[in-house]
Amino acid sequence: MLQLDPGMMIWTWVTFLVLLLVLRKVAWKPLLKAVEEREQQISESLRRAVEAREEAEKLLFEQQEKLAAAQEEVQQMIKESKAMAEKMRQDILEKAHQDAEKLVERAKADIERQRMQMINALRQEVANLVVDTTSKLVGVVVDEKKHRQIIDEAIAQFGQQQN
Amino acid sequence: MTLSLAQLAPEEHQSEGLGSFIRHHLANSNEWNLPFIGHVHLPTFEPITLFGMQVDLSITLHVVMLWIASLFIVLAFWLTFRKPNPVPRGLAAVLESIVLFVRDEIAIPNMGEKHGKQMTPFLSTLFFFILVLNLMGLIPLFSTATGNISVTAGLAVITFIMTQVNGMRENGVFGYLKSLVPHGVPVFLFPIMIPIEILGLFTKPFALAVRLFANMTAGHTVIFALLGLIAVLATLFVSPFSIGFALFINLLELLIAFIQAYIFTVLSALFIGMAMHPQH
Repeated sequence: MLQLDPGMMIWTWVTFLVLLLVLRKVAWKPLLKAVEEREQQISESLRRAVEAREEAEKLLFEQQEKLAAAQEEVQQMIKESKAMAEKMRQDILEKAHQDAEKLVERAKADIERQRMQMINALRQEVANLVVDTTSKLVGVVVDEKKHRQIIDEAIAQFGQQQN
Repeated sequence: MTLSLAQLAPEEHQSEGLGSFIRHHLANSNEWNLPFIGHVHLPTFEPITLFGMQVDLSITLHVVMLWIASLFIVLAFWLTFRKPNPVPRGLAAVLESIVLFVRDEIAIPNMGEKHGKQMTPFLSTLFFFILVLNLMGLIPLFSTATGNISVTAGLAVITFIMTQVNGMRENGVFGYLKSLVPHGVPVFLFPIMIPIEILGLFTKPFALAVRLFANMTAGHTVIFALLGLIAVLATLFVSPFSIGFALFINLLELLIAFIQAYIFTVLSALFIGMAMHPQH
């Protein structure tokens, strides 16, 4: 039972060698190649997935930043336009006030001037009437110049009394 | 209610005891007993003389077992890996996971990444060969080739040769021989250490051969002995115990078939790895 049989050992070697060679061709090469390819594929896709995620995160961050900047800009613009509108309103009001004041001023001046003109005209008329009347009454014109002076003084006094 | 040995054993063993009956069933032979067909006589050749030795190259029962196992393994792998499939299913997944186990848990830890991958085909072949031979021993009508010391010695010699060849290829012939003596051993101990280490070279494969042979033989011996109790005690009342225990031992042997194939492969990887990288 414990005796070595050289023939059996040789058959073992031959069988094992043939099995190794056949399996190398039939099994180990395709199997190990497929396994290694798969391992490479898996690590490759893992690497790619990580890359894609990083890329996506970067993009998201960029977009968020851009969005925040845009919002900031919009806020700024709104603030600026509000300020501008306020200023314009103030300007228009100011100008309107000024215009109105000017108009009133001018109207006042016109009224005053016309009043003065009318007063002067009235005086002239009165003086003429007086001179005419007086000369008719007296019949002669003593001294027209002197006369006129007296009348003017009288009218002035009259005007003062009236005022 | 008696059962004589004559009914259990072939006629020529009628006069012999249970021991020889068991030995006969475990031993190699030149015929294969098959049901309905009867004794198949396997071809025998005249012994030839090789290196002054009488070598009998007859196709014995265990040689047939080796061939059937090889054929089975080749067929299993050929059928499953004929078409390349990126996602293995069923048997392909099982075989692949075993091969990957051999590569990642046995070859690479013992020999390193590069050599581990190189040696994976050898170690996987060794593992599947021994495993299938062990399992075939559990199937009725088949014989246990790994229960033959010549077969296990043959396998151990293959491991021994692989160890020496790889050790010398990796470290050079002189470097390898020098690495056999551990570092830090005083010179005056060399006369003792060198013979011990040389002896150690041969005890490793010897232990491999004997371990596998003894494990495979022991289980079968126990099963036959338990069943033989029925005949020896000549009563059927013992049969429930005999068959129960035999079934238990059979299941245990199923476990041992895997464990021994694994151990043989691991130790081969370890020895080869040690020869390649003597520092570790």
